[in-house]
Amino acid sequence: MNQPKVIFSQWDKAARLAALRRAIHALEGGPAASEPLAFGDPLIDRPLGGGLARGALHEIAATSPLAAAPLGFALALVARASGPLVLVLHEPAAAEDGAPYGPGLDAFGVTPERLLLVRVRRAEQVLWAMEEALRLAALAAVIGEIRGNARAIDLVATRRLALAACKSHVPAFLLRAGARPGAIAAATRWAIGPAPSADALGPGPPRLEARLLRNRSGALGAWILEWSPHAYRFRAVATLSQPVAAAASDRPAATAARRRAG
Amino acid sequence: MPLADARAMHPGLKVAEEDAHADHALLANICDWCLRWTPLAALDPPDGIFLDISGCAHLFGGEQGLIADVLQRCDGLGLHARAAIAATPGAAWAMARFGTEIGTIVAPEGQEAAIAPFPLAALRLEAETVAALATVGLKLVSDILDLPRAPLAARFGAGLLRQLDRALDLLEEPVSPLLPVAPYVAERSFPEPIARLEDVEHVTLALARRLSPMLEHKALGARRLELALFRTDGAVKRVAAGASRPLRDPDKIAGLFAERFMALGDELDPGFGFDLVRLSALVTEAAPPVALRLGETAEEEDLARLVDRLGARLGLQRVQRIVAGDAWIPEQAAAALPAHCTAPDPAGWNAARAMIDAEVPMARPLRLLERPEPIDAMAEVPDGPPVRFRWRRALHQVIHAEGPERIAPAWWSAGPKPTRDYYRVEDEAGQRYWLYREGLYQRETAHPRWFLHGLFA
Repeated sequence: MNQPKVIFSQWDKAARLAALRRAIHALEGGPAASEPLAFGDPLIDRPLGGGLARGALHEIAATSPLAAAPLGFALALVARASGPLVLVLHEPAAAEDGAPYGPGLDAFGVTPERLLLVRVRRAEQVLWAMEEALRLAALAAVIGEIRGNARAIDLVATRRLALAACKSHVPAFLLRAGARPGAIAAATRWAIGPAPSADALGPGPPRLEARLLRNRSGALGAWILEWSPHAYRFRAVATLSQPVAAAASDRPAATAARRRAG
Repeated sequence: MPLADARAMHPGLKVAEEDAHADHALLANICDWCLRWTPLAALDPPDGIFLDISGCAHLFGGEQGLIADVLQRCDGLGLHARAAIAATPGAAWAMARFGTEIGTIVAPEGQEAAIAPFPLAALRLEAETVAALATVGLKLVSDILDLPRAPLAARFGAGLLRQLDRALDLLEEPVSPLLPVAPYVAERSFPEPIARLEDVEHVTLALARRLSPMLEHKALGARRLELALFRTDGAVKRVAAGASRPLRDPDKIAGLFAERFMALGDELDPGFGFDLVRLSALVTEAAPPVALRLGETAEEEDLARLVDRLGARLGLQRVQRIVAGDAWIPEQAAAALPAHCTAPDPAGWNAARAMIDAEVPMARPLRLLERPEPIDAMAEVPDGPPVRFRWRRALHQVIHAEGPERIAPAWWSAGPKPTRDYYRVEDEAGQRYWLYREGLYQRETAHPRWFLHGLFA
């Protein structure tokens, strides 16, 4: 009988220690509420002044057609914060990329019982539900995901979100996929995409390319980040050189055509 | 009379086909509207409605006032109604149909005298029984009142005596109400109908303030509430709201309905206004009076209120919590259940974690597609990992692959479900996917099919 060859990478072996590390993490407790959301690596935390601001709106755009990496980026940043997480999911996003998966969240370092999932049909309902959730100061974060261009997402609507986040001191993340970038009242704007694993043996731990395109209060930059679900921290594997313009891979063909025509 | 004869007599006659379905729907609507007088209203097809007015009449100025109100409001809706009040449904039924006046009240113990002069059909008998009685000369109720019971029952069946006894209050007659009666109700009627949304919200708060002490007295909280809005034109609008934990705070109840009104928008059409509003607690649950909650519980309370608020606007099914399912099949290993009836389940996840950590330390994707999508995959060997695959019309080159993790369906599950071999693969862009091959090569199938099931961060 032909036995299939099983290859497990280093990362999977480490998972056996996960339960123990989780217990240690629970004993240590999360970071204080006033501290910024730290990445866990001075290479990226130092230029950002300790991490991302808590009571603010952060925009995360997907650079690839699929939006798994942006969700992972947002979840990783709030994995250490204590309290429930509210995730508002636009139905088109769930249909395209799938819904957050319990065991997968658990493997990623976010305990699924913390999550409150809100599924809505229209883009403006994502903003409304996020604003409602942002009134609760006890939340770890409010994450909303919108797929496609939506007229509802403008400066005024996102300004309301930013104010609500500032008032309750809860971080808010707005994930966008398959959309043209527009004016948004966000403190930072990130472009996130997947990054190839370095491990020659097989797919390694979650790795992503993070480009900070806009930052109201600090430096910009681009990094390759590797997330360790067991240590609850990012590691900046490489610092990328700054691109002259934003990566255009997520823009629909129409934009390019218009530029040619113009 | 045949239609042709009728047409010969009245050439301009309008003819309409009988539509039993529409008639029944109209009757049901009227019955719904009748709930303004009593919570116990029952349909009596094809053309009747029973109202159990025990303990309700005094609210409308006694039985006289009630019957006048019923007839006047029916007239206002353009309905020609006949009404009767009696101690038994049978006597009231007979009086409403065979009495000389439109609205009659039969005195208690007066049923026998009242229905005696009516034909036997007034007892709600089968047509054959009435015909059989007529052949022996028994035509009126008074004809059978004094006859010996045993021969009557032997000849015409027990149904005849049962109906007679029911009409005379010798036998209890159950009436099944249209809707179950809510145990806790507060209502308010208005001489001048209200139509503005703010007024409706204000009234909801006032009603919630009256409902709250009733619930508090019994140490209960409402899990499901219903607001019935009776429109002046006879339509009844019902707005339901659910709470994720027992609720009796008037402001929270009113807030819940305010969200429902926002979600309904124009659907809550007040027309010419509502003249009666009723708030009922349909489902209640024990809620011991706790004055102060400390620490975490206050946060839980806030979260529950958020669930209710979002649920009221978006639909309770759309606010979900992810709970662990005790299964290896990926789509059954977790389920998103409505948060208002699900508590956070750390124990379930701890069990799932123990299972995964102890047996196979295998990664699970961050996002799972709603259903596995078929892909065209190329593998070097039939039971090896894929080399490249085509998904959603794009070709992906596999750079890294890990696996397989073999997941077989539970042996007790019905139907032939093939074994799955899951692989974690990474394409040239660095995107990581969760793929599986369905069916073991040569053991279960000669041509295994490939599916894409999830995405890793």
